[in-house]
Amino acid sequence: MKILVVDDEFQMQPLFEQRFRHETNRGEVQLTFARSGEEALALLPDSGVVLILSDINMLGMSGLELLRRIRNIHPHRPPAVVMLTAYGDQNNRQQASLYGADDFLTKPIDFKLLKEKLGEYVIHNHTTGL
Amino acid sequence: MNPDWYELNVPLIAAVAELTLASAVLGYLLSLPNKNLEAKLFAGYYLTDCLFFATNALHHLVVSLPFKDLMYGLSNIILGTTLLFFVGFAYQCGGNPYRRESQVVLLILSMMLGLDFYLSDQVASYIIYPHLAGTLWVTGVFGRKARRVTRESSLPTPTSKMLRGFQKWAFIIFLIWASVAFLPPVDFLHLGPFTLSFIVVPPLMFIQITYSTIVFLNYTPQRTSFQAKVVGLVLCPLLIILALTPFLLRQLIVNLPNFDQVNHQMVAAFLFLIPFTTLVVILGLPRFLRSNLLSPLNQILEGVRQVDAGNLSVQVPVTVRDEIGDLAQNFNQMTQSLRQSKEELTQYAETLETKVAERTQELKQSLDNLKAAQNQLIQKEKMASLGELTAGIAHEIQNPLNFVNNFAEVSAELADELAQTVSAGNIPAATALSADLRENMGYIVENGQRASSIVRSMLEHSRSSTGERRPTDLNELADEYLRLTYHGLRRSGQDADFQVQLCTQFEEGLKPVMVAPQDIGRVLLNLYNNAFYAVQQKQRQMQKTVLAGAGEEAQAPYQPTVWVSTRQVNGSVELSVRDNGVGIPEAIRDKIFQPFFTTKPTGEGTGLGLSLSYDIVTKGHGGEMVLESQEGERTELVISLPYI
Repeated sequence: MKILVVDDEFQMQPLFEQRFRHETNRGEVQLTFARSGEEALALLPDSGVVLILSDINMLGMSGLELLRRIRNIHPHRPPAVVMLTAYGDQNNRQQASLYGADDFLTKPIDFKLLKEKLGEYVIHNHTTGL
Repeated sequence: MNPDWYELNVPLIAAVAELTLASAVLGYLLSLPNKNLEAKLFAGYYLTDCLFFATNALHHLVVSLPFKDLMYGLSNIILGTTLLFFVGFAYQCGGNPYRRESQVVLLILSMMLGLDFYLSDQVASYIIYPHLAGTLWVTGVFGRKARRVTRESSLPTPTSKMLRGFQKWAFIIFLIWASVAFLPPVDFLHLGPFTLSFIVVPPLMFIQITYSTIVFLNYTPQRTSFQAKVVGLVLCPLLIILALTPFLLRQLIVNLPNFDQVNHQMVAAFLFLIPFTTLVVILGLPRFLRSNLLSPLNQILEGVRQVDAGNLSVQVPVTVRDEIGDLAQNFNQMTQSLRQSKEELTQYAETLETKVAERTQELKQSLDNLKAAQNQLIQKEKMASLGELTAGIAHEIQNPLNFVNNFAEVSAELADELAQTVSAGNIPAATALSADLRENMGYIVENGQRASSIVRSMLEHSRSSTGERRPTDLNELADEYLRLTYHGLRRSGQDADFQVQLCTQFEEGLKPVMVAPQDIGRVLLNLYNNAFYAVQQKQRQMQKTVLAGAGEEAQAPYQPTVWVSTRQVNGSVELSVRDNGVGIPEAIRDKIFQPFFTTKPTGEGTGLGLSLSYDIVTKGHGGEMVLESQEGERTELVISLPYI
């Protein structure tokens, strides 16, 4: 399962790598990182990414804009897009679901919850298939 | 009763009266100090006139015929000289523009006069003709000079008035000569009463003397006196009456049997009256004028001088109860009211001083109040911006804290694993894990420091700036405040869905610049907030347009964007904050740096942000702040800070 993490905080990378080290070692998960929306869009095609975890507030293109563009290209999963943000407010949440986000998680990231949901994001892919 | 050698007759009276008047004029003219050529010629004319009247009087007085002939001849010579003085004066009067012509005319007249003397005898007298010609010519000369002066200045000048006056004088003399020339034949032919020439010529003679004197006195540059004019004006008509009365009386008594005796007595009486009257007028009138007019006037004049010198307490004695007295009285009243006004003024000036002092005190007070209010406002602005920052700061602290928590949690897991691998004896795995743990500790420390540095800068922001400058990385400062501002905006509630694309372009390797970081931070905060506000406004406008039904799909979606960039320009560093917001209308561009100017709704902005920022950049750091904007499109503020 290939996951793309988009965040302009570079420490996200070691954090994710350590949190998913067992999954990575077992070959269940492959992590890719992008520091901005633009970078993410650039490496998305033909990458085999099935889940995108994106911050909303980034310098340059915002996470919501990234979401809108991804959904322009891929109206449905894959990839699944999950928004991560420090602001758990309703507006962002509504905006994200309007643009076609699959989930909305608030920072600090509850990795236990995230890992539980990972399967959901992929399974839903096959069952719903909007 | 006439003795043998003289007779008293009426023409003698006229001649004596004329002599008296002319002598008075001559005496006065001679008494003038510093006579110029013009005045000398005029006096010369009167001298010869007096001589003529004297010879004329003798001519009438003495019975002896040879003496009469002698006097007649002498009077003609004198009259010739008079004519020459007259012509000379005419040319000299008011400047002589016809020097050559005057010489020629004088020469011709002299020759004519000489020729006449040569040709004349008792029977045929030609002496009249040069006089007729000369006086007529002089009339023309005065006219020409007057026209010449008038041409030079369009308004009538004193000179032109004088020349016109003398022109009339010359014409009167011409009339006299015409009368002398043509009236004797009239008399001779019995076409009129025999005394006609006596009735006509003496009045004209008096008139010419008086008139010419008045004109001369009025317009001469010499200083003359009012007294002389009054005396002349009184004397002239008196003498005319005294000179003409005998002619009239003679007509009344001519048929009396004792005519000779009566005539003699009458003429004798007049001969006495004329000098007596003249003496009375000349001596008495000035005395009267002095005591009744001039000395009161002088007293008033002295009073005026004293008032002029500042002595307002002066009082003029009121000696006479007439117009002059009234004048003196009025003068006294005037000085009194002047005195009062001055006192009032002094009083007013004194009260004014106290008033000014009071007002100054009040102004000082309100200035102090204003200063206090200004300080409060600045503090308020500072606190307001801190408020704007708080949300951003909270986010910025939350972020590193999240990492601290996350890394701490993950490290705990790693530590457990490490313990397991060590007990399993898997040394390479244990080494890798401990390296990861070491790395995580680094991240924890780093994020902890980041959080505390944010707290520190928040404290710094709220403290009064010491203005202390230290080498500062402008890129770092700009980035830090951009985040704080942006997250602050995002967190401040109602605009949480607001999305802005942030683009930074910081020049790498920017040399640190000596600034007061809190102050510049405040500037950055302002610029960023303004930029965000501008794009937000624009987005709202766009949404309204869309809601109004304009083709939703036709319009490209508006992407609010703020660009921040730094670059090094020789000697200074430039920081630009640009947005694609509503822009600033041309009309208010020169106002935006003014204190209290704001476009935000009341209560939302203090109107001090940009003004303080401008002061911080220009006055505080010797830098520049430049605005560039296109209404509805974009705004860019560039600050440049010099490396010192």
